[in-house]
Amino acid sequence: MAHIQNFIILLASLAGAMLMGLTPARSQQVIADISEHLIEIRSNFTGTDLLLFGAIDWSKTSFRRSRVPDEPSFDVIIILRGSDSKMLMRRKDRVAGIWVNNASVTVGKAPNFYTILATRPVADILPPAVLDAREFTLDSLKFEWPKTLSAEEREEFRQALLYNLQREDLYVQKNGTIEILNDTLFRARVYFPASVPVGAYLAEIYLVRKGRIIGHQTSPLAIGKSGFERTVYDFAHEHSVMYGLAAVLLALFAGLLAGEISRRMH
Amino acid sequence: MQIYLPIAEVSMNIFLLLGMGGAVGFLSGMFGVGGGFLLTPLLIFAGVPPAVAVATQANQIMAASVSGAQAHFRRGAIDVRMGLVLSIGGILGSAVGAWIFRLLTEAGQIDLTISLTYVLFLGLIGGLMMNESLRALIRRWRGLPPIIKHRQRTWFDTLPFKIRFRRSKLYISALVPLVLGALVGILSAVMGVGGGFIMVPAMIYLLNMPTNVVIGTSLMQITIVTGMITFLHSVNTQTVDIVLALILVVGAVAGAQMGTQFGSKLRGETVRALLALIVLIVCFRMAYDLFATPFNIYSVTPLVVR
Repeated sequence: MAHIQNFIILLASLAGAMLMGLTPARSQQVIADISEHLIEIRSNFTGTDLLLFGAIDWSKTSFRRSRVPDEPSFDVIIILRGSDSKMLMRRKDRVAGIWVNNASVTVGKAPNFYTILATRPVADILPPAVLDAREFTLDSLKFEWPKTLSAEEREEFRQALLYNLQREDLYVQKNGTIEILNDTLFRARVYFPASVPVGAYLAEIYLVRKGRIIGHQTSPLAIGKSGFERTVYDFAHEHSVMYGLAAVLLALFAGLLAGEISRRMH
Repeated sequence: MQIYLPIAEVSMNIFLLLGMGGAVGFLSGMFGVGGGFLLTPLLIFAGVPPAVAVATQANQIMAASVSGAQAHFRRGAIDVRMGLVLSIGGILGSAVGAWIFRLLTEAGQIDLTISLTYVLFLGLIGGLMMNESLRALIRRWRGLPPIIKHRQRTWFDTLPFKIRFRRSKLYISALVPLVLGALVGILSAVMGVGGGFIMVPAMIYLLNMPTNVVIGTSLMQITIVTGMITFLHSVNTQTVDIVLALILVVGAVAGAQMGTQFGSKLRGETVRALLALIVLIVCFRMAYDLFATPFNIYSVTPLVVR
C-alpha cells in the first residue's frame, strides 16, 4: 500500500517533469538527474544526502566553451523544493514574569522544504530582479500572510519563519556547493534532516550564463515512510480504536511478562 | 543505535530511551509513582513533540505500573477494594482531563498549563511531604518514639456511602476515594503523569492508609487509569507512539522490579523524604523554565492536511 502511494506520487511528478522537458531544443543543453527518486524512511533513518548531477551537452549549446582553464563557461543554480503547506507560528511574550504563547499567525502557504545550491554566490550570477522573481534567495521567498497583519508584524514573523526553518535544516541556502568538472559535468549534494516531511519534492536545475537563465531541467523526488513504520502510522490513524486497544493490551502483557521474568530471576 | 519513531516522527538513540525508562521505572517500584512527572519533561527535552510525549507516557507508565503492582500484589500489599473505587473515579476524571487537554492544545496554551500545574502541585506536595517526613526522621534520630497519628474526626466522616476497607483497616465514605480518584484522573490526562505523586501523599495523609499498602494500591489505580488515558489519546489525537512506549517499557519494567526490592528495605519516613526531595527538585526546575527567557520565542508548526 505504501509503495503504491509513493509510486503514484512519483509517476505524477515524472509526468509533470516530462511535460516541462518538452520545450524548445535550446533547453536540452543541460541534462540533470538525482541519485534517488524515492527516499524511504525506515526505522534507522537519521537524515540522508542525495547527489544531484548533470552535464552540458556541448553539441547543443548556444555558446562556446571557455578558453580560460579553471574558469567554467556557465553557472548552475539548483532549487530543491518541497510541497506547500500552512504553517502555524506562535510568539511567546512575557506576561506577569512568565513566558506565555501569545501572538499566533497562520502562514497560508509556505514550502515545507527549500534548499538553494549554486556554483557561486547567486548575487554574482544574476541580477536582483531575477533573483527575487524566481525566489533564488531565502529572503525572496513569498509567503501568504493573513490580511490583518501590519507590515512590521509581517516582517517580524517572516524573519522568524526563515530563522526557525533554517535551524532545522529545512530551509538552506549555500553558495559554492555545486562543483563543475572539466567545464562539462556538475554535481552537488542535498541534505535531508531526519525531520524532513513526507511528500512530493521537485529539484529544479537552472543553467545560467552572463546574467541570464539559458537552460532549465527538473527532476522529481518523493519521500515516504515505508515498511513497518508506515504500517504503524497508518494503523494509528485509520484504525485508532483498535490501535488504542492494542497499545493498552501490549502494555499490560509487557508489564506482566517482565514481572514474571524478573521474579524467576530472583 | 538510532531508531525512527513512526508517530513522533523523530529519530532517537535506543540506549538513551532505555536508560530514561529504567531510571523512571526504578522510581515507580520504589515510591509507587508512575514517574511520568520526570519522564515527560525528559522526553520533550530529548526532542519528542510534547503532545506525543504526554500521550505515549500514559502507555509506558501503564506497563511499568502493572509490573510494580503485580510485585506488590504477590506480597499482599494491595487494598483491592480501595484500588477499585479510586479507579472508577479515575476513569471518569481522565475522560474529562483528555477533553480539557484537547481544548488547551487547540488554544496553544497546553505547554504553559502543564508547566504551571506542575510547579503548583509539585511545590505544594513536595513542601508538605518534606515537612512531615523530616520531622518524623528527626524524631527517630533523636530516639523518640514515632507519633502514632490517630485519625481526627473530620467532615469526611459525615459523608454517606461508607464502606469497610479491610486491608487498610478503614471505614470511610466511598465518595472520598471516588472524588480523589477523579481529581487525580483529570490531572493525569492533562499533565501526562500517572498521578502517583498526588495519590501517594493523599492516601497517606487524607485517607490515613498504612504506608505499606499505599504504594501497591496506588500502582493499581495508576495502571487502570493510564490504560484508559492511552486509549482516549489514541482515539482522540493519534499521538500514542507504540514503538517509543515499548522501548521505554523495556527499560522501565526492569527498573521497577529493582525499585520494589530496594524500597521494601527502607523505612516509611525515608521513602517519603526521598520522594519529597525529588518532587521539589523537578518543581524548581520547571519554575525556572517558566521565568527564564526562552532560547527562541517563536515556534513554527506545519499544519498537515490529512
